[in-house]
Amino acid sequence: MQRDRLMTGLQNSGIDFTWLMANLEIGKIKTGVDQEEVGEVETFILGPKAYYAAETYVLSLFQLYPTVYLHKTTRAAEKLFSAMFLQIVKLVRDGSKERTGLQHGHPLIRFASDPESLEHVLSLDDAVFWGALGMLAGAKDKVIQACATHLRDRKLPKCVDIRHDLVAAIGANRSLSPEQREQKNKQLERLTGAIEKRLQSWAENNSTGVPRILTDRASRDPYKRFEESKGPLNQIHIHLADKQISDVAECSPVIAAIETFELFRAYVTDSEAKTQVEKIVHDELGKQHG
Amino acid sequence: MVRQEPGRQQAADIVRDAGGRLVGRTKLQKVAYLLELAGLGAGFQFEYRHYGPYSEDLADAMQMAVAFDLVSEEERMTDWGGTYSIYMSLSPPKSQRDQRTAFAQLAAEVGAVELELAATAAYLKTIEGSRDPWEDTKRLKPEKATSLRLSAAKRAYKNLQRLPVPKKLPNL
Repeated sequence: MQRDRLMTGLQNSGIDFTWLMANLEIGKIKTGVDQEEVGEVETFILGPKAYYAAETYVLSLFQLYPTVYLHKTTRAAEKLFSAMFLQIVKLVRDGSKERTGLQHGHPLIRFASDPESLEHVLSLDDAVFWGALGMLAGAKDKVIQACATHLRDRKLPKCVDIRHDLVAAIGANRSLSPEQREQKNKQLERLTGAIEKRLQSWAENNSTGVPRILTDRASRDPYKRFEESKGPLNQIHIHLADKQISDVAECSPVIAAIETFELFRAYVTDSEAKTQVEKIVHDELGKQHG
Repeated sequence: MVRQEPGRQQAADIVRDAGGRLVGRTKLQKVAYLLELAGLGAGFQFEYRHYGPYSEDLADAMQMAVAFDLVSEEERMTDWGGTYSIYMSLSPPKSQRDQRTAFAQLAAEVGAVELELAATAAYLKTIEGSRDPWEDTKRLKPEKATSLRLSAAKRAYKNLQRLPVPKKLPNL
């Protein structure tokens, strides 16, 4: 966090790490399965003096998502990379590795041949990828060749923020009652699912090199509430001044009030693809409104 | 023929076949896992997480099932500080009781902790080839695996093993 905040407009994301560490204690918290309480487990908790530092940490980390980790340009490059990498794996698995542009025994080829091998995983790093980019740009396979060329020349597909448009079109804003918002959120989920399916189908049928439409869905909670898959030890617990131990989301009104950041975008390579995105969004919105 | 990945309808069917009401996300996951193990599932993929076998695909599909009004979800706070969900099926039940409904309903009647222990032991045996899955479960979940709960989990698992299913549940 202390590094990622630089040059992003988020200098405030430099958390007070020393203070947080100095206030770390060991305490016992209750645990359970569904509604059944099971007992207590020991874990790290923060002392009462770290309350605001913890709040700042959660808020600062959250703000790094839209500005850095889920930034539209970063994600566009990631999507291109994913499309290219999947194609490399597919060709290697199909016995057509010569079409990838990579030499026999290249770390990417070895990884694609046997991804379970720890040795193959450890041989991959940034340098391997950047070194391979020139070779990939000369691949016989059109998808790999086009994706690598776009990445090398920084010609990234342009972003269409579909979720932003949908929220505006159906009026899912904060002034609604909780019940109305729940209904709007369900409508958004349905629209997103239907649009994503159509966009992917169009891209599959109308692309030869780089997929002409790449879809992107992600969500980020400011602070993940208790989840079945991760358990109570994944939470940040605070030792409050009255000796109670609480999940930070339950005692901090700041953290409790922040809503999940969600994105649904399309990245397009050309104007026809962009028009197609707009048409499909318009069609699906029309269906929802009857 | 390529098999279609399970989605929201298959997630909703689990709630319907478990009697129309399922209390708890852990219970939903474990019932679904045991259905898969018995050859009665829809093809959800599971991996090991904090509460034993867990399917991210099932969690996502259930979210979509709620969005598409196939299932309703009510979230409640627990006394121990966590939250739990109550799922209610919004589809009519199957007209006839079959192997799947009998199995799902019996599994759903087991306590959440005992079901988690049984599903974990079954996972350790099936996926990780554990020689003593109950002992390994006890080691992984010391705060839950008391002798009383382990006995109840073993009994519940044996009851499930007695049901006629397409694929025999492994002996633990």
